[in-house]
Formats: sequence, structure tokens, C-alpha cells
Amino acid sequence: MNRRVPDEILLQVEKPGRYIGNEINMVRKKKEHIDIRFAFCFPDVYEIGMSHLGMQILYHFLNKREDTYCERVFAPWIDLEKHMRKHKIPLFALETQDPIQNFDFVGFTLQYEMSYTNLLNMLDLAGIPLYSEQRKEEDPIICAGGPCAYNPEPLADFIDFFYIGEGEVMLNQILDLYKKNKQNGGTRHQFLEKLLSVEGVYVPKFYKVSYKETGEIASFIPLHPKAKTKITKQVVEQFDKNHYPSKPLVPLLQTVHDRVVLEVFRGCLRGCRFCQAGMVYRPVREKQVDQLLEQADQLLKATGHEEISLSSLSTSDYSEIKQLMTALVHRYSTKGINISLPSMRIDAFSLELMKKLQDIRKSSLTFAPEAGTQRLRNVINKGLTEEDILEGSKLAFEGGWERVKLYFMMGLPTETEEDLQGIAILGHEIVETFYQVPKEQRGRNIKVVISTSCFVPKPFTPFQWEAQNTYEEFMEKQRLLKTKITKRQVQYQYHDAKLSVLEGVIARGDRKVGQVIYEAWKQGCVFDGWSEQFHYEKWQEAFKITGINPDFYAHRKRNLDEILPWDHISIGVTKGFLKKEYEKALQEQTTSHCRLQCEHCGAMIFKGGVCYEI
Amino acid sequence: MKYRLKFKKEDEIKFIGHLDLMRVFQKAIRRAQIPIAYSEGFNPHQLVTFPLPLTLGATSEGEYMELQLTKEMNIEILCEQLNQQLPLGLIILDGLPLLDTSTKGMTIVQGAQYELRYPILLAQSLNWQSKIHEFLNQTQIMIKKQTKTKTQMVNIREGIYCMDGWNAGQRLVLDLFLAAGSRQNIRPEWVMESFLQFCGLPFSASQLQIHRKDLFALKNKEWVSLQHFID
Repeated sequence: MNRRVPDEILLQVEKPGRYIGNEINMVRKKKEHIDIRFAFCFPDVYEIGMSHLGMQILYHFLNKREDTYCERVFAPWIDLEKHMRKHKIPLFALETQDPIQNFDFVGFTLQYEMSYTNLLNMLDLAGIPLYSEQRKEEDPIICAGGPCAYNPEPLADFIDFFYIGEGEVMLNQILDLYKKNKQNGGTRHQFLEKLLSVEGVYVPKFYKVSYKETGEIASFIPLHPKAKTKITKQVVEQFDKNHYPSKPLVPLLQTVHDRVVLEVFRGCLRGCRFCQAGMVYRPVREKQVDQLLEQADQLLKATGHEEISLSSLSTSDYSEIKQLMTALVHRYSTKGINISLPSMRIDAFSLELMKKLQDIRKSSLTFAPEAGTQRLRNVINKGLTEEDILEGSKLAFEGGWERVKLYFMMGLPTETEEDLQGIAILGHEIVETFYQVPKEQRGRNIKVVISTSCFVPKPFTPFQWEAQNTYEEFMEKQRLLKTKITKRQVQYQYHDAKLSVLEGVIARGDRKVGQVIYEAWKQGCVFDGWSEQFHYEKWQEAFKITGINPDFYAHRKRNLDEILPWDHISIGVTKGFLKKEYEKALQEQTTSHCRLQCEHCGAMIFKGGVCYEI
Repeated sequence: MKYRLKFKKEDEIKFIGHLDLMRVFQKAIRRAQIPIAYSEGFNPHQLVTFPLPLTLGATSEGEYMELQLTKEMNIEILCEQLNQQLPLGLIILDGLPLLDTSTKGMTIVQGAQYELRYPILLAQSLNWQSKIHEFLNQTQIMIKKQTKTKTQMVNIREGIYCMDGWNAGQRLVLDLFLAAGSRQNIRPEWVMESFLQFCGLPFSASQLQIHRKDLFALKNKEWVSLQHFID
């Protein structure tokens, strides 16, 4: 084992187990037999990256190829980074401990905007030029995918190509093209040119953006005859036949989610208007119960995990949820396997399940009403009513539960003081519901925790044209809500809005925003998503230096006919549908979910899933 | 059915701390489909205990774990099945069936043998034998013991049962037999640090290599390795 970081350094850093690899089910290959070295990079710490299902799927998917060795790379924590810079240790992959500078591909998964400075920092630690145009033939091809790639523009200057959609569809074709090009002695430019014919691939350097004096985009023009005007996301159409890793990596360190994850379905039926995942992952595609039970069995055996969890955007919407959960409980609850209940709707069925699985006194109920009044819930198309919540709470209190968590967003479009007050009222009503349950049936103490986050308008949602609240507005709303919560049983949790505003800038940013990210990184920003590492003043400095006005991106309401930075990406769901949804939102009208009635969102262009259910 | 297994911890896995190591074993036991017994209650856990945690960064050829199984198992098969599921660097060396009435290893362990290595420049080299003799002739050897809340001064002289030392290349090697367990536990790095200080040499914790050789219990005033100890 040629470990990259010597003992003496590893003994000085927090959690050295992050950097040693050697996990259970790690893929080992002989380097001599490999044509393509692929560094799969997660721009955050090990424990977070290793809890990410997408990485597990693609790691094993790529390693199925005999000619390819996919290895993992995480962002070193700041303590190790200091040593790496001091001792000139280049960023390395966990499996072989080789520097990734000499790999063929360095691929990043973009899970949240606030990891972008980490991405730049990782390239720098690897000794790879940050800007695409500065890279030479011997440098790896830098690519990126994942949810934030749906608006690739803020990173367009740094990434050689983006992959839009689910990796399983086109990655093989891309690697084949690469191998052929390499064998034929082709250049990186020639390879990127060849990629123009692959669906779902966006190569930023073949497009030119020009801007109006106001800062809006004037035109977005392909510079190459083969560069597509629209890049369509790729989805696995036959999802029940899709590759799923049967021997996932089992970390030696405790990670955020130390458990087996069963992917039940992709996509979401609901169409909440603030939710990007609900739009970009359409259409809903499910696996069968039998298949899931078989996978559960195999995964538990291969990992030795003592907990299993279901993964999807809204597990209660799985069409056979009762059969699945009943079977899982029946099989595993007596075998020392903990079944973790995902975000399920609180009703008689789920409460019955929870009673079997959890210690009621210790567990809490979670609701995500997102908005305080029915009016605003209609605006955002969140199909959860006050009656659902109070009825669910009552049932739960009768069963002995005494803790409730409520999640809300602040700064939603059309929000008024009444909506904020509604949050407090709902909290108070839950407390009253508790005391209406006879003493001998209910627990002793009720505790309600209200938590608010700050709304960030995201691309490919009906609210993509909306202005985000300013920092001052958010803070004022938090202050107001605090005064409205008067019952001692209700606790209010909130956090500083600075990070949300910055996320708002980057989420809907254009190519110019890349300069700010670069400058912020130069000022020393990394791990911005970690509150103790977040330095807002450095970002402010970056805006000043680059002359870019954050308000233009975060707090400006766009015209419906404006060219948006992500307009060249197609997610299947049409802009027309999003506009219609936006108008309906402003009229407080709701839209039903996919199984009740098809609203012709556009996702039907993909040949599979709920759109073709009979 | 109780068993005590002896294992080795070396290579990269030395960077996995005690709590994580316990989880690594839990999962290996499940993968190996060993009929491990569980505690009662809402969050049942495996009945596995470790007599003496090993500090992160240290290697060992004398670690132990004790398991309670729901049915009897041939000891070789038990070791073999578990070995197939362990990550690189963890190896079960031997096993010993215990009695149902046996006291837990963490209660009986009283001594531990270590081999420490520390880089020393040639110019700093001393006559270690005589320095050790002088070092041990002190009536007290005080070290600063830090807990989460406070720092206290502790005399470790009584807990150093045996100490030897020599040069190996550019390193000082110390062979130590120290008090271990719940009554008195002498951390090997304390001895190295206070010895180097005694010799007027600098010490930096990250330069120290700790290797544990074995754990011992007392039987009729004689030290017996846990590998063979049954009460």
C-alpha cells in the first residue's frame, strides 16, 4: 500500500480514517489492465459523500467496465489541506492513493451550490488548472453532473463538459468515445467535439453568451455546427431493469447515513411549485415490491448494516407502500434490523408501523406544511391541509407521541404577515389538540418544534422568475414570527439568512457568477455549507472585486420572456407548463398529482414511468 | 455461549478509532452470519465487548473481543468465517471458549505490553539502559493527565512494571509492561514523553509509533495472557 499521506500527518488530523480507503466492497483493480482512470469527486467531506446514494450507484456502474477504474475523491478537511499544501501532497484517489492529476476523467457531483468553492479547491489541490481553457492535453477531462448541473452556467468556465440527467444512460457511450479518441491519438478538443453528438452532454466552450446593458442575456449561440440548441436530460426509462449495486461500499468510519438504502422510485408525483427535484426528476418510475425485497435481502447480507431505509422523494406515494412496509417489518423487525421510516405521511397506517418500530417516547412526528395558511399552501401546491396535520397529530397523541416537528419556508411568493402568523397558529393548535386528548391516553408533555428555512427560487420550477426575499426581509420575518409564538410548549428554530441569499445568487446565476465563485475561493472560501467555515464578508469582497451585483440574481423578478441562463437545457417538463403553473400559483389554484390527472407537463417525451401507467 | 477472540490490528486500519472499530466488527459479524446474541429492548445491540480500547494510530498483535453467541460454534470455524469478512489489517489469530460464568475481559485485564518507537537523531543517542535505570529509580514520575473538564497531575511510576530500551536504526525502541484496565491504566505515550523529557529530549506525539503486544490478567500472582486466561 503506497499511502499518500504519511503517518505523522494523519496522526495530527481529525478523523484520519477519511483518507485511507480500504472499505468493505471497495473495488480493487490492476492498474496495468485499465484504459480509463476515472476520479469520482464529491466536493465535501468523506462522511457526507459516502452517504450519497448516487455516488454508490455510479461507482459500481463505472467499475462494471473492465477497461475503467473508478475511484473516489473527497474534499480534504481544512486540517489536512494545510498539511497537503505545506508538504506538496497532491489530491489523491482513495483506492490507489494515486494523484488524480494523471487520471483520464475527473468528475464532480454537484449536490448543492455551496460546494462550488470546494470544487475549485479540489482542482487546485490536484494541480489541475481551474479554467477549462488553460488545461493542456495531459490534464484530465473535467466533467460534472447531479442536480445543480441543471443550471450549469456558474461553473461553465471551469468544467469541460456537463452531463445532464441520470448517469446510467450515456456514461458508457461517453467512455467508449473517449477510449476511441485516445487510441486514435485524438486531442481533448477533438474529444469534446465528438461529445456534441451525445445526448445529454453540454460542452460550454462551444456556446457564446452575450449580454444586454441591463445584464440580462441577449443571446446564447452555438459556435459549432454540431452544438445542439437544446440539451435534453437523460433518464432511465426502464427503471425496474436498471443497474443497482448489490455490494455497496461500507465505510469504516461512521457516516451520516450508516445504513442500507433501497431506492424505491425516482421522480415525484406531487408538483410542489418551489421544488426543483419534483420537476427535474420527472417522470415517476417505480421498482416492483418483489424486486425491492430481494434487493433488501441481498444488500443487508453484503453490507452487514443493521438499518435499512427507503429512498425516494415522497415514499408514501409509492403505489405499493403498504405491501412493501408490511413485508419489510415482517422480515426484519425481529432480526435486529432497524427499519428507518422515511418521510411518510402521518396517518393510521404509518403510525401503526412506527409503534412497532420505534420507542414512541423518544421519537417525534414530522410534518412539512411549508406554509402557514391554506391560501399559501395552495400557491405552492403543497397538498397537505390543516385538517391532515391536526387529524394526524390527534391520532399520534392518542398513541402516546408527544413531540412534533414542523417545517416551513419563509419568503414564498405572495407571502403576507397573515401567512407568517398562520405558522404560529398551527403550532398552537397542535398544542391544543394534545390537551383535547384525554389525560389517560396521551403522554405527559407536548413539545412542538417549528423550524423555518429561507425560500430560494430555483431553476426549472414555476417560481424561477420570482424575486427572492432580501436578507433584511428574511430577518424581519423571523423576528415577527418569534413574537407570534407565545405558547411555552412551542419552540422556534431558525438560522441566519446570509447563506440562503448567496445560494439564491448562484442557483440562478449565469456565466458571470463563475467569476464571483473563483474570487471567493481566492479569498479563502471553502466548505461554505459548514456554518463555522462560512465567511460572508469574503463573498462580499468577491462581489466587490468582480463588480457583480448579487441583487440582480437573487432579488430581481424576471420577465416571462427573458432568456434564462439555463434555457438551453431541457428537462422534458416544458417552459410553457412552468409558466402555466406560475400563473395558477398567483391565482391560488392547485394542480393535481400525476396519478389523478395528467397535466401534460412534457415529461411524457421519456418513454416510461407514470406517464404510461394504465 | 461465550468466546474470546484474539486479533491483530495493523496497516491502514490503525487509523480507525475504537468506536468505529466496534461498528466494523458488528457488520463483519452480520456478514459472516455468526449467531450473535442481542440485548433486549427497542434498540437491541450485539453482545460484543472489548477488554481494552486501543488508541487511534496504534497497531497491535494482541487485541481481544468477547462475543456471546446463541449457539455453540467450533472455534476454528468461527475465526475463519469472521476473517473472511474483515477489512485489510484486521486478522483474528486465535479463539478461546469461555465459561458462562467467566468474568468479562475488561474486568480482569490488569497489564499490557507495548513496543514503542520514536525517531532519534544519532547525536541524541544515549546509553538507554542506564537512563532507564535512573528514570525508574525516581520515587515518582508525574505526568499531566487531561480529561474533558480538567487537568490533573498523576504519578505513573507504580504503573510501570517493566521497561527496557535500545536503538534500532534511527529510532529508540521501548519495551514496556504497564498497568492496564479499569483500576489503573498507564498510557504508553505518557511513559515515552516523560522518559524523553527526563533525557532532555523533545517529544511530539505524532512521531510516536505505538504497538501493543498483548494484554494480561493475574492468576495466582502470575501474569497470564488473555489468550489463555479462563476463570
